[in-house]
Amino acid sequence: MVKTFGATKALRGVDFVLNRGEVRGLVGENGSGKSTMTSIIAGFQKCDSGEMFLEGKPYAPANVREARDSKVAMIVQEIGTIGGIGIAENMFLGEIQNFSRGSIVEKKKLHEEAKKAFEKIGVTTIDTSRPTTSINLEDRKLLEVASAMRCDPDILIVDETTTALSQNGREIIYGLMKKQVAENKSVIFISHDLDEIIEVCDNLTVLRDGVMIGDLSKPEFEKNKIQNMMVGREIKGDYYRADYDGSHGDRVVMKVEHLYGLHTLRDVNLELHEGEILGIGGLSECGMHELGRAMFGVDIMVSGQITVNGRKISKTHQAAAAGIGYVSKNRDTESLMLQAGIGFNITIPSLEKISSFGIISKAREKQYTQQQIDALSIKCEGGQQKTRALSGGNKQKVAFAKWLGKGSQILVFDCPTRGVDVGVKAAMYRLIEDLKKNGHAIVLISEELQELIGMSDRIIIMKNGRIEGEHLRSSDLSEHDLIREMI
Amino acid sequence: MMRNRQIAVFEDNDMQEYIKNNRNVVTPIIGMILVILVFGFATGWKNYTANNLQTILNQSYSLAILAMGLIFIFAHGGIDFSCASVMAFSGLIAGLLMQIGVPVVICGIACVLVGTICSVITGALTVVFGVPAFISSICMMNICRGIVMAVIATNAVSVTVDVSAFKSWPVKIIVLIVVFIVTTFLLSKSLIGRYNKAIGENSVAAEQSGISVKKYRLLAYMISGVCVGIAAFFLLCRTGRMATGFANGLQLEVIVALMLGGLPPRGGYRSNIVSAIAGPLILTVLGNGLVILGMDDLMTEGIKGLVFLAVVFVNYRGSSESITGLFGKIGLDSKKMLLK
Repeated sequence: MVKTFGATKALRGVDFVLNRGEVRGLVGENGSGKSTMTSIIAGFQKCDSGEMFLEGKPYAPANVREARDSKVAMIVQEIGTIGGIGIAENMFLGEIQNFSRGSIVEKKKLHEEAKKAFEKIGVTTIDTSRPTTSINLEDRKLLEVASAMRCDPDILIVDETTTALSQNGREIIYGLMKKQVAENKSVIFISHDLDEIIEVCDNLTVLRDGVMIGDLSKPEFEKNKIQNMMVGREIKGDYYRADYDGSHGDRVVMKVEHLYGLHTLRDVNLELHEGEILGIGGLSECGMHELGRAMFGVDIMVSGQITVNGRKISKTHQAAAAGIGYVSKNRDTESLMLQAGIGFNITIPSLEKISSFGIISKAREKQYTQQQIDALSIKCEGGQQKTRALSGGNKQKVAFAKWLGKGSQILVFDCPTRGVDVGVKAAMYRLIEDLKKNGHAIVLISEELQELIGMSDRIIIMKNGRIEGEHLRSSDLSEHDLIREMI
Repeated sequence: MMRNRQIAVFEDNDMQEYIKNNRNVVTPIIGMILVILVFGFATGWKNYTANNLQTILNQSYSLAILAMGLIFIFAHGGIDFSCASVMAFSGLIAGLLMQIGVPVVICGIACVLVGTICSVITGALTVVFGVPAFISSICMMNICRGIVMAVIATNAVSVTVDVSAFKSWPVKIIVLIVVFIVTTFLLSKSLIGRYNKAIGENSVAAEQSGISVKKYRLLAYMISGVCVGIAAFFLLCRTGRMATGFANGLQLEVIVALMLGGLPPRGGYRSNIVSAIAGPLILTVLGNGLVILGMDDLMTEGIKGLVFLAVVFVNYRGSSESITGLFGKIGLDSKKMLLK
């Protein structure tokens, strides 16, 4: 069984081979292309170039159904069921016509089949006639498992499913995986939990930045070695900050106390100082993005508070007035108005600055826009140009300019270098360094560890909504230390 | 010579650039001029006699004032079906006050106040309690219309005092110009207008730019309410009595007018007050011209619908999102035709 890939960006020419009767682990950092690759295999999306072969025959599924017909099934990382409909309906989504006579759906048959599918994976406790929303997340995941197993897949892909499950649920999945192997079928297993990977996998493929780094077989498994391969990047000389001086002002500009969020945040406490770059890292779902949103008053918090100079922040307009600026990790949908002009975007937070008695001055608006475009050297035709027409890096500069022009003293950047090319990336780092020198306090939330190590005065690592560790700037700090706390 | 030519070329480019960037302002103005000319030719300029000109102005008057207020709600991506019924309700209050002998000017102020309050209530339902804008406004529409019907069923309400001042053209034109200047200023030069356009463009990004989205959406409803009140008072003075069908139909006509006037269906930064002037004029001249040409009422509605469709496709072709946003509104227009 051979699969060859050559997709761009997320995947940059990956060659991947899966043999019969093996459990192959797939590891890599966030954004290394694991999910992209497996979702192409399972027919969720298509690759830009490259070929796949299934048992020697060309294989190119147009959609999930086709993949399932070829006996390739995937259990996805996110929630893959629809809440508003019944459990059985979810399981046979897209195949309902098989259960209908004319246009009437035969409910009884549907439920019987669904029940059988559950029994097949050893689950008997779920009542298939109930609405999907009435069962907990774990059972919903099991529903997806049962749904995927219905086609007797030759290749079963398990994408970070076990993290959402309790021990009981995990045992079910491990059992299924063993059964696959016993029947000379295969499993691709993705997890961030290296201990788990080492335990359940026969072989291992390491991905980094969309490139395959290496294959390991069971005897070669060693936690440190795998981590090395996952990260393994040299920090280039002047790309990040050259100094290891983590000093900053003493004045506390922002205080987070006993913060509990609706989703993940659990009792977060931290202080941000003048002239400090505070890095926050962790896995995608560790709560760091939620913390960033909370700092700008975007999300409602359950309890605890965030204060700036004694003023409580719970709404975005309070945050902006208190001198906080925020650039979301979803820049295109949350930070920018893509259809509107560059000037329109840049001036929005600072309109009060360029208007007198509530009247916006066109001339000052134009001048202000040009100032910001020059200051950040945004490559564009002028303030009137649609923001949509800019490249990723220049869009990001527009999002930065919104707050820099306003003169916000506290800047919360969530993944500021995501989807930005190397040149702009370097420019962003210089900018952040300059901001620090001017006394701005910066919160740098990032999924890239080397970026955090390279830029931060202090790094906080989060895990499951809590602060797991704190590190001061030092040349000895390695990514392994951080990863150990993340997973 | 050379120099002159170069300058000319430069200006030409500037002009082209302006048209390119403001297509939604330029097209409706051209459309307006075209409609005026075409119907002038077709009717042998009979439609622009002093008498008929007054009819056209009277018909587009309420519509234009209504549109100049409603454009703020549209700018932030909202919709309001209640405006016509709120007009009827505030007109009713004004009429009742006149009957018990309250000075006319006070009645006018009361009319504007009632309009504003009703509109803000609709807005609060949507903005504060999260009821979708079209549902909350339909509720308000039914409530206001219901009250008006119940009241007139038992006692007739008509204008018993002298309101000739508010029927005279100079006063009406001055009020129109004042409303135009104020709304133009608010929409294009003030924070209220700018923020509402930003919200229409991308409400998440607006909020994450530190705009108090709720506050500015409510302010849009307030401005709209003031205009509703003004339009109601002048309509009441013109018609002289309150009827169950007072202003009925305007709620849809004003939406059609704004779209014809080039307002993007989802609002946003291209929202321009020109839509609120050109739209109502195009719609009225078109309808009026067709009637003069001897077309019957039902046909007129149908032709209006077709013109609307054509304009929509010319204006919004290429931006699929806008087209889908519009289909709901086109659907409403055809429903209105069926109901008639």
